[in-house]
Order: sequence, then structure tokens, then C-alpha cells
Amino acid sequence: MVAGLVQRAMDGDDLAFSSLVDQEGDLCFGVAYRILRDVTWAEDAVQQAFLVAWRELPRLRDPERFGPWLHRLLVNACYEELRRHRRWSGRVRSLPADGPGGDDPTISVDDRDALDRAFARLTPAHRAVFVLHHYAGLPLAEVADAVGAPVGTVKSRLHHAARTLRAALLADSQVESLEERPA
Amino acid sequence: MSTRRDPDDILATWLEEGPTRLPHTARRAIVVDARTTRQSRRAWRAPWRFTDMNPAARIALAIMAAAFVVGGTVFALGRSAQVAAPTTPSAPTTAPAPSSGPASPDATPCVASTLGASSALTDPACSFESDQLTPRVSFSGAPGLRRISENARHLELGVTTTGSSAATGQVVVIALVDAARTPCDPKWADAPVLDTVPWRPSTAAGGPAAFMDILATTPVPMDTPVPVTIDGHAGLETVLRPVAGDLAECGGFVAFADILTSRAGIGEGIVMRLAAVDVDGTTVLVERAADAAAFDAASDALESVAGTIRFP
Repeated sequence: MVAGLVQRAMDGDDLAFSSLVDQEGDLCFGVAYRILRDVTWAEDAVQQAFLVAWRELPRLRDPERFGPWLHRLLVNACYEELRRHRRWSGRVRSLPADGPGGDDPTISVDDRDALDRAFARLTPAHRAVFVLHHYAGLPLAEVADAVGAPVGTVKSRLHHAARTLRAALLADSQVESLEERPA
Repeated sequence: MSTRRDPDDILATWLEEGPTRLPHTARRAIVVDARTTRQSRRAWRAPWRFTDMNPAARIALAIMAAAFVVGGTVFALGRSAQVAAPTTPSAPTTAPAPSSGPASPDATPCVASTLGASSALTDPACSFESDQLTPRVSFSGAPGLRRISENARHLELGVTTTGSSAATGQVVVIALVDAARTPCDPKWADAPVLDTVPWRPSTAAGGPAAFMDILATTPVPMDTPVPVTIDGHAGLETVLRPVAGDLAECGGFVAFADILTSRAGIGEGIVMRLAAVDVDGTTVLVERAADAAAFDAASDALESVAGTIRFP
């Protein structure tokens, strides 16, 4: 069904493309938000990825490859957003559209803070690999396709990202346990 | 005694947090983009594959193709030289040299929205006027100037210098309408809404001097404010230089104001020359900022853009 929509969009059918946006937009936005940690930047990245997709669709050789191709465009758009905003990221922060209501109360503020900070220290490539695999659920081969790197490199980045984030949580818990220890 | 959850559980939950649905406005913008953007033409060439050829034949074909291209190019160049020889060389074009200084008074008026975020201005002979920020602001172009974002509260311009000391910085104009109630508050990193107070220069709590006084209560290292005028509007100016660790108690960020989609302020590792001037009853902040390592290299370009700011 998706291949049929892609084929129609390749032939210039903007309604078919609109249906593809409906089908793929949420996942793309979820991925972009988690890589960029900013709602506005994520919207911009998704918009840019879909715009390039629309423009370049006629050059796509295999409609079945639309998903991996779109993911690659999205990752590149996220990298571009990070490059564009890197200089100002410490200065201006956007607000999450969903607000704090989306936060899971079972995660402590300290854990969330530790993870946010550790994630911000990861390179864009490490962030992308981690999000595509653990959030979007893409197998390693598809992640490799999306980020344009060999599977071995993807495994290594995934390992590094997970280790960094776990270490941040463990460091946070050690501080907590020290604080809880009776004097 | 408290039990702690498995780190991988916490990680998985944290990753699931946050928005999951593409906002309707963005969805609509994509569809409108598609309706107004032409698609590329379908590739006319055959796929670049020689599945039926053996390696020797591929190499032979590649050599023939290269020879054909080289021969054709030499032939074409020879013909064009013969045709061009009798003509008289035209006089060199007297295009104005790029300048980072203010544009001339007769600069072409342009609307700020035509200056894109990704398309840098290359023609400095153009003056722009904001189309959303109130009060209205005009400024003249400089090579490498980009409009990063604009709304009713702020206009953010990016400036990239060229040459051996290439650097990037930003000039931001902010209408201070809702100021941060407590600028140094670590919760700004997570709070959905910046806790603000209305900022009115007509009250005792308002005005450039009061803004600088509030800034002085934060841990941001700042120079002593000095008087400044921008387009005839008086105010105060300072330079802020928070380095790593300076703003730890504020969560790494000191907030100035609510600018609708974001909060404006300063983070560690940024150098910012910050002026606060009174423009007909509104306190307007004019920032020139860059990463600490790039600020000196970008400073001249930032000042040249800021020097053209007018409040028409």
C-alpha cells in the first residue's frame, strides 16, 4: 500500500504524498525530537526532510525503499539543524509542545536531568543511532542505511551512547545514595 | 530504604517521553510546500549497472568513454577559442566590493522575511525591515547575514564571517514584554512556561537600568553597564562572559525573557555584548553574541550589523 502511494507521489500526486506525510510524519517527528531535544527544531527538520523527499521522489529507483530513504533524509536534516543551532543552543531553549504532562512520574527529576545532560554531550551521530534503534525500533542494518555508516560503526556508536547514558544514571544514583546515608 | 529501578528501564522510559505527534501546523506546512514545489525530473539515464559485463569489458568501456569525453572537450574548447578570438574584450564590471560596513543610505529596501535562515545575504546593498517584531526594526545587510527566526517578540540574525578567521555569531533584537521573574532558576531547563512578570518601563520596576540591576543579581559575570544610544534611543550596555560552571546554580542558563516560542537568556560558554535601550516605552534588548572562542573574530561583523539597526 505504501509502495502504491510512493509510486503515485513519484508521479506528482500531492494527495498521495499528503497520505505519506500522515503515515510517516509522527514517527519522523518523534525521532527528530529525540535526536534534537527541541520541538521547533524537530518540526523544521521533519519539514525539510519531507520537502527534499517530495522534490527528489522521482529519482527514487525503488518505491519499496521509501522508508529507509526518508529516514536518511531525516537524519541529514537533523544534523543540519544541529549545525545551524549549535552556536545558540545554550542561549535559547524551546519549550516542548506537549508540556510536562508527557513526563513519566516514575523517573526522578535528577535522573531525567542526568540523562538530558549526558545526551546533550553525545555527538549527533551517536544520538541518531541510539534513537533510531531504541526509539524507532529499526534493526541495525536499517540504522546503518539511515546514517550512512557500516553496521560495525553503528554497533560501536550504539554501545558508546548506551554506556554514556547508563554511566550518567549510575553517577546520579551514587550521589543520591551518598545523600541518603545517615550522618 | 529505597529501591532503584534498572537503568535500562529508566532509559527506555525517558526515551519514550516527549511529543510523539507531528503538530498539525507542521503537517499542513509540509503539504503546502509540496503543492508549491516542483519535483525534480525523473532520471533519464539507465541505472549505473553492468551486471552482464565482465570486468575487462567494463574497463574497456570506461576507457573508451573517458577518451570520448576528453576528445570532445578538446574539440569544443578549440572551436570556442577560434570563435572568441576576434571579439573585443569587454570592460571589467565595476561591481561594488563587498563591505561589512553599513549599507549606503540609498540601499534597496527589502522585507526581513525575504532573508532566509539558510540563504545567506550576499548583496550588502539592501536594507531590511522586520515584519513581525514590534517595535519595528530595520537593519542593513552584510555578507553572510541570515535571518534565523522572527516573531512579535524577537528577531534573530546570524552572521558568518569569511576569510582566514571565519566565525559565526548572532545579533538578536528582543522586545522585553515578559521578563523572567527569577532569572537564575534551575527549573527553567524543564519548566513548560517561563515564570515572568510584565515589563513596563513606565513603572518603577521597568527600564534599561532596572534590567541591568536584575542581571547583576545573577551569577553571570558582567562588565559595569555603560551608557549607550542606539538610533538615538538611550540605554545601558554591558558584556556578559559566563564560563563553564559559572551558572551551575541556575541550571547552566540564566533567562531574560519569554520570546513566545523560546526563552531568551545566556548559557555558559557564550560571550554577549548586551544593550538595553528604551524605544518609545518598550525596553529593547540588542544582543551580539557568539561562542567564547569565536566572539573576537565575529565581533566586527556583529557590530557592523548592529550599527545599522534603526527603529523606524
